[in-house]
Amino acid sequence: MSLLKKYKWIFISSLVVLSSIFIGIKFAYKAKIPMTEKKVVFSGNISEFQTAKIAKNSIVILSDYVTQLNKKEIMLGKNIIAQYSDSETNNFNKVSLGDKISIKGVYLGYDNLFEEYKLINCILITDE
Amino acid sequence: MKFKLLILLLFICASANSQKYATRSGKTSFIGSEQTFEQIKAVNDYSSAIIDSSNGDIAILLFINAFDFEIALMQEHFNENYMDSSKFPKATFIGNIQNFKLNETTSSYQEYKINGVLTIRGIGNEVSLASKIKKTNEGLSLKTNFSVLTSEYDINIPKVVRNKISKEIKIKVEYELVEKI
Repeated sequence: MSLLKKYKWIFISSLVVLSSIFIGIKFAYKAKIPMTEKKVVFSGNISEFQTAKIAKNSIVILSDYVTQLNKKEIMLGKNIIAQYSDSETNNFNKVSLGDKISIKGVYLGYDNLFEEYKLINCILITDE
Repeated sequence: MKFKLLILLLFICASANSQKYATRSGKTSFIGSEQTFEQIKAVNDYSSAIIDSSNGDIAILLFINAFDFEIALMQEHFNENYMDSSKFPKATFIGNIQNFKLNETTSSYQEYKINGVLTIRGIGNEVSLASKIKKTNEGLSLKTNFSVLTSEYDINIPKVVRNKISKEIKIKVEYELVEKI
């Protein structure tokens, strides 16, 4: 008992330091939020999107017709390119030219080289 | 930067009969530290590039925010504290592949020098890149490795992490370009 009293502050200090390290590590290694759970800033069709002046790096949902299908990317309308990762390939393989689809992704900005709006990390929204 | 891109686009459009090779999903990666406990490295799988095979002109554009880190917090710091990606969302390279002739490319990599201007954080610097190009079934494959100094692009590294982040960032480019219709 007297021993515990003697080392009380050392024990408390060690506990505080260890807790801080644990919280620090938890914060630094926080998991990435999956696209399905990310907060949507804009939802609509292409013409609404182009007039809305959405901030870069926003999460958007776009619903429109597929005009081009390439490897790991699809074109919506005339100038919206939606790119997706390998893990989404199976879902996007079900899409055909002319289909009306909804996608959720990160709006990066305007690509001056291809003259199109670029969306990445896209997923297919199937519940619409 | 926009002006330079416009000039390049006009230049590319001017040669309507020339063959162009392009990708929207070029892989650009970098390592920004030595082998430490947690290496600072990221990959951008969404780089855009166009090569005009008639004269070897090349243009590359990538969005800084598309660099993907394994650790989310590292990505946050990279965009907000070091690259200021909301103010400078793009990095570009505009240049020319020296002595490039499409009909001389083979299925084996050949070495080329690419001279041009690399613009990061709105600062453009002349660079000369040793690169490798080969013909593929679908078009062209381009690879290059080079380094940039953080000081050349006004990237400020705080004192606290100065020993963890290299002054020299190693960049790796791997693009598979297909013939553009």
